[in-house]
Amino acid sequence: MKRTIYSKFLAILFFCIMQIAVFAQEREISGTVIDAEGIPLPGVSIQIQGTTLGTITDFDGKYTITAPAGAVLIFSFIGYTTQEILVGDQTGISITLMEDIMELDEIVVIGYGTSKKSDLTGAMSSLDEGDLNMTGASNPAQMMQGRVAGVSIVSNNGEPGAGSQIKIRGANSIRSGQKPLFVVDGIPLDLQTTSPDGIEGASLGGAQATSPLNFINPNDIETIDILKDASAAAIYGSRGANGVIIITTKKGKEGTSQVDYSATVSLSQLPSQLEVLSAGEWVAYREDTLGTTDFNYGANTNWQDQIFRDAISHQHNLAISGGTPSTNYRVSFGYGREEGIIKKSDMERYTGRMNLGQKALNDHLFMEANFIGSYVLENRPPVGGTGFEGDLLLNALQANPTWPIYDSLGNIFQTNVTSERNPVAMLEYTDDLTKTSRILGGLSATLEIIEGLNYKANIGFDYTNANRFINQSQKLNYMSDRNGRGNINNKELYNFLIEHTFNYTRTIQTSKINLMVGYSYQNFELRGSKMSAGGYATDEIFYTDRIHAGTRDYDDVSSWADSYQMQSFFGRINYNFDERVLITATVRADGSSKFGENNKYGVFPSFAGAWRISQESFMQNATVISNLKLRLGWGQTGNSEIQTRRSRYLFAPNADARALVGTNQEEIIGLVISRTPNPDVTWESTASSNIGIDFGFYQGRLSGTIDLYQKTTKDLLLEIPTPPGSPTPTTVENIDSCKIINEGIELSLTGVILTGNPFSWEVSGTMAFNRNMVRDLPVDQYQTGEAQGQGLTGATAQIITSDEPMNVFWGYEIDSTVNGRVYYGVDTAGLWESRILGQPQPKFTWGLTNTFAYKNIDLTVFIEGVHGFQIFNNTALLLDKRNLTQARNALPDFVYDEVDAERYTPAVSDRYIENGDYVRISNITLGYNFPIDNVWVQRMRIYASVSNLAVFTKYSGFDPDVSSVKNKNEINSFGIDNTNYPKARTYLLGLNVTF
Amino acid sequence: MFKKYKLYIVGTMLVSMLFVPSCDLEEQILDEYTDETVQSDPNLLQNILAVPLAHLRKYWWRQRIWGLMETTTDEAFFPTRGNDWFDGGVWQEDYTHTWTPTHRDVVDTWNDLNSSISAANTALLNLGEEKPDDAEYLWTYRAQAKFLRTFFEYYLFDLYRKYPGRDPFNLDFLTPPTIYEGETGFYRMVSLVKSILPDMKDRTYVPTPNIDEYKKAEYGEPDIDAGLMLLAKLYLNKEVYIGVPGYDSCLIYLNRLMDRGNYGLANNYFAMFEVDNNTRFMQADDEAILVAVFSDAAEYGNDNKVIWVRHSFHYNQDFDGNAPSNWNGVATTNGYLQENWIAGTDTATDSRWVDSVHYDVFGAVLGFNYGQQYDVEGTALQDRNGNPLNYTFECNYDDATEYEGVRVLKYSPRESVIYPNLVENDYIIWRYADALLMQAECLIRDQDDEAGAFAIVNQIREKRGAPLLTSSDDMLYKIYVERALELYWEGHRRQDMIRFGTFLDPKTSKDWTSPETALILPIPQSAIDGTKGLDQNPGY
Repeated sequence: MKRTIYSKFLAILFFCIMQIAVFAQEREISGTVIDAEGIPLPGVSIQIQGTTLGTITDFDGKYTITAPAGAVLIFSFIGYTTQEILVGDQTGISITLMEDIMELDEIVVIGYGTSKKSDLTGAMSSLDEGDLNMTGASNPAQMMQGRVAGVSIVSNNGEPGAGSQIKIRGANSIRSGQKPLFVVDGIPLDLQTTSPDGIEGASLGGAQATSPLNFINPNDIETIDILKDASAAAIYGSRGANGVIIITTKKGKEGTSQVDYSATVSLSQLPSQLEVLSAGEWVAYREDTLGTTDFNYGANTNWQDQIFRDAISHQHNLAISGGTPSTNYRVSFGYGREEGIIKKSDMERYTGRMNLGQKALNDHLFMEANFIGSYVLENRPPVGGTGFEGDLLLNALQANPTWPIYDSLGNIFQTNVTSERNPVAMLEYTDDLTKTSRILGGLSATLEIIEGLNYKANIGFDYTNANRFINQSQKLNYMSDRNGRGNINNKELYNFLIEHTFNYTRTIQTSKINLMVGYSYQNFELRGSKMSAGGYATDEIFYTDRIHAGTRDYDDVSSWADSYQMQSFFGRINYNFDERVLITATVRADGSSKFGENNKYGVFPSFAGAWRISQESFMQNATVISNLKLRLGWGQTGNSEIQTRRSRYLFAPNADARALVGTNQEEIIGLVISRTPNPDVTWESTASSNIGIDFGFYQGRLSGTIDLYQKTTKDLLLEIPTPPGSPTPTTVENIDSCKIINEGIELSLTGVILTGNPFSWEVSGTMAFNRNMVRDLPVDQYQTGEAQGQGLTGATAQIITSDEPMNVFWGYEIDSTVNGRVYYGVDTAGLWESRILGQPQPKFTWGLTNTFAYKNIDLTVFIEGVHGFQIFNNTALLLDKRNLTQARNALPDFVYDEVDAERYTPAVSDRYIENGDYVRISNITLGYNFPIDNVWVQRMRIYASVSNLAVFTKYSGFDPDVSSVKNKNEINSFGIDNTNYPKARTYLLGLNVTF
Repeated sequence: MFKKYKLYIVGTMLVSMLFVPSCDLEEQILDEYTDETVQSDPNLLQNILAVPLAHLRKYWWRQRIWGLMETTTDEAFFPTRGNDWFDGGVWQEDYTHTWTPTHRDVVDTWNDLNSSISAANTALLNLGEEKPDDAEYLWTYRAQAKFLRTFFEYYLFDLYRKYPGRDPFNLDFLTPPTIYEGETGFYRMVSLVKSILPDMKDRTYVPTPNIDEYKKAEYGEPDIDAGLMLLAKLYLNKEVYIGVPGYDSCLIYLNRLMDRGNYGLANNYFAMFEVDNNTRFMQADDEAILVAVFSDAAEYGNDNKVIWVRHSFHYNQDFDGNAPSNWNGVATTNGYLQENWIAGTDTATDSRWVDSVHYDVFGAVLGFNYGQQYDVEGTALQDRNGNPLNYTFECNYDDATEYEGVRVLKYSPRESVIYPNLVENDYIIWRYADALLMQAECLIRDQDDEAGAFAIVNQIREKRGAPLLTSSDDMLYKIYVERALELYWEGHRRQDMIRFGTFLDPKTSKDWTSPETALILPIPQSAIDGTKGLDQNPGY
């Protein structure tokens, strides 16, 4: 076996070497051209100034040329700054070409095509391999965090593979999705989470879904392009309102043949524990202040020590790629295992990926196939609960510190009060494994019909099957009454796409016209099933491996199925006049089966124009300004991320509606009208305008972009109370008067402070301001953000109301504390009054990247800041001092304040609203590129990095980058910290080798 | 040029044809039934009819009708115990009559009752347009649906004084319906129930084999008795509702009900509420006129809603391990106990006060649990702070300890209970003793017939082991007290206190009189937001 692998490896190597052409002619001047990272640059043009003589570099970046001594050699390459070198008496000239900062001719991916960056009219940002090379991220969302102006990414928590709340230019919707549309290699994904649900009760119900993007190996990503404004995103019509993120995976490049291997190993730790009372302090406080010595079990246990650990993770990726003029290929395999800092939590991922391109019919036909297969295993701890008994994390904080970990018999100590939970028992006796398989594949054919006219057919599919197995042992004190519980929850998602596009390009003198029209059809099917049982004799095997081994009493099964279709027609016209004036217009007509009978199709237009002032003749002599472009755009997009079946009059059996008839109580299943139908239901629509300036000074030494935007979302889909006597108390309706407005400024700036050898220093920064406002809500307020805690059943912490930003915090304001009793602010009638206490949407965010290079060593420091927002610290509420009256632990900040623990009733109040502002040293990476001096290795790099090195914040919780999903009645919540899996600090070592 | 590329062009067109699916974007429904399937399949009709019937179960717990009828009175309250049961102030608002139009239970009860009305209307819709020559069974089904609709309207009217009138055949739900209130609202319900009485099912009906079984009321189905009782209830409260007495009509329908002879006072008071109370159907001492049938397999008996043990008893009183996580919530007030039990009867002999039939198994009694509590081994229990678990009469609504307040258990769990959330006992909505006391009350109010009322009350007191009344002086008040003794925690107290004029009075730890407007609940803000022409009640 070993031998076969070895011989295959040799064969691969041999194949690579075969491809390397070696020029052996002897001339006077020779050398190597490399880029800033030390990678040899093939195809660099070397010209003798004033002549037509020249050559280009080979695959290894080497060249040889004959030139007279006084000649000047001009080294030029697209995307790099041209350099001129006087030959003199040198015979060896090796140079480093610096990337042209203006990157004017970078190709970016727009919807249904690509564009030169210089031709863009809309607002978009692109991240390429250089930006994405920051390691340790387990999915694309984490890779983008903090790096793109106007894209806010807030982690749900610090679990391996955790999901995020991604918002482009603010939140647009109250009930519908706020997530942008993801398009992977041309296939728009369904935004459904792939995680099967957790379970109710016993605290696994609230565990948050992990990211649906975990199936993509970050190492396979070539670029991420973000369409931010409507003029760019309108080509995606009713799915473009929240912006579009286009992920393109790596392909083989023509003329290369290489094997890439990369590996990382990392260590993650909890940056710092949350301080609660020690056993000594706990006993002393209860004795001195509460006058009780009960429930002192005599031990001194730090429960956080028991659940957190130093986590070791590693990953390996191998890719083979190459290309000839007619074929390109890239095949990769990745394996990674990421441990979480909470014991028993990890994510193991296998990914395989293939990209193939082949030209045929005398280069008139280009066929492309791509395929991603992934298998992800997630072990999840019991974190994210909702009951007052608390999840693992809450219990690690609130558990009685005098409890021993083990009793005298060596068993895990548990009291017989089911609401008292030993975190070690929770960890030991709970298993929660999710297995997710996903296949995403596509096949496309592009045919050149006549010159300039291409037809492309694209077929894609995306299939996910996820199975979650949850076992809660009967040894848990809270499971003893039902002798254990096993749950198997399954989810299956399927989506199939057919697309036809025609693309026509024509140049007439100085005018260039590009016309694209297309049709697309996409079918989505979603299914799920759940089964659970209890009453087991033993937990010797996992219950879920033989779920029917329990008693019949607790059997429960359910399943659901859903589907929807979309059909769209779209077109785009680009007009380029003399590289000076650019005009783009797009239109898309989207139909969706989700929309009501009366509103099946929506039309989404956009217009944009750009004026490249620097191309004008009057600017040709301006030496300072090398690039100046003014962009203007307007467009309309939609949000069709709404529920299915809203427009139909439908019946479903409902357990609440089983009639029991006769003395033997025969059950008759009742068919209930599921919801009050609304045949007018349709997409939400967002109109957005954008003004932008792209600029470059001093040959691109300083370049940047400023964008100003205003977005107005209307026809908001809201749950409106129905008139009395309707089947359900509410129904959804598009309210056209109600608006959500987002306005903001975005700025990105890149400056090359020092350039060339041996030392270079580049700074790039982003900044974004966003203001969010709700106008003319048809009801007084919507409540969301469910609070957790004893006596807080049904309480919420946020409202959405007119003339305020979305999700403002809403609760009592402490007026005074007299004799230990808290008095809240009252209204005119003397009753406690709820008031606005803050808001969770950051007003200002920034990111700053410093890149230093010295010879072969490079250092990158990435810092981000988020300002102007508050957090509702529900974790603190759960750890308030009243806990001490119930033999639980609490936070010292509360314990020693003046409030009387026995007379204090917790409520959602400003006691738990904190400023979340923070500055984070997100990543520092130090790398070294080995000088290449043999034919075996083309490139080798090692690096070390620290992620989340430090956070500067006044926030008292684990981390201010947090947002528990606490939606109520499907209204989005935001900015609540409720016993979240904390973020880790990670130290990482990495190796990249290219053969 | 065309020739050169002909192949490509034709090929392209062919390929595109192949892959353009025909798609009308008609929504495909996979896991629900469409109206076409439901209305065209007669076998599904009984499933549609099952819905309003099942809705009868929805209301008898702390956050629905039961809560609004009991926790707003002196009979039951959820005291705020330190940190527990504050719940955003809803229980305090209930007890002190300071509801707002956004009060959770005011909103949810309104919404549920409206959904139930819709469920009844949906049944009528699926039974089809009324035609004179329709088969008789269709009229019986319709009568059942109409009775249930009126039943839910009656509770809306009682609590909020308004209810919607919708045409079952109009599916445009987004257009507001006619809102009925006042006299029109009252008489609409009364005349509808009168009109369906002949078509209603009958528990005594003897069916001809294979022909008219539909006419026989099975246990759990409302029958003509329930129709008569609904009319009696409406007329009993008519003066409260529209200011015009209706006690004479109430007597007429009560007499018709009594004349049918289906009921007798229960020989064993607490046996009425036991797990097997369904087996009492049609027995000589059966009292149940209308019941909500619970099974521990069905919802509402199974999801933290109807949980007679759990919502009242202390965390540490675990029914011998059978009810390990109780909630320490609802209790009764000292004022109620003093006025009715201490002054109004003899707790030593009155069988309604305490029944220790299950004490050896649970460590708790049926009826009123007070004083030091013990587990089944006889060990004295403590609360979580180490104080003796000694349920006291004294208990404030806004500032109580864990052990304060007398706990009440009327519906016993089964002795072999495996999980306290599973409630098997059927809930009695209306029963015979209530009808008798209504009769006594109307005899006084309508005819000043003190002797008649005196006889009825003593008939009940004799059965229950209470000392017999010796005089008929102040008979109306004695009926009021008797209702408190007989019908406690059965969801009638709010109506009684309003009818007897005591609802707004000061009571235990609430030492002020509530405003007159508290007699009617506010219309939920959400309903007003969503309905043009629906006005808020005065005072909110």
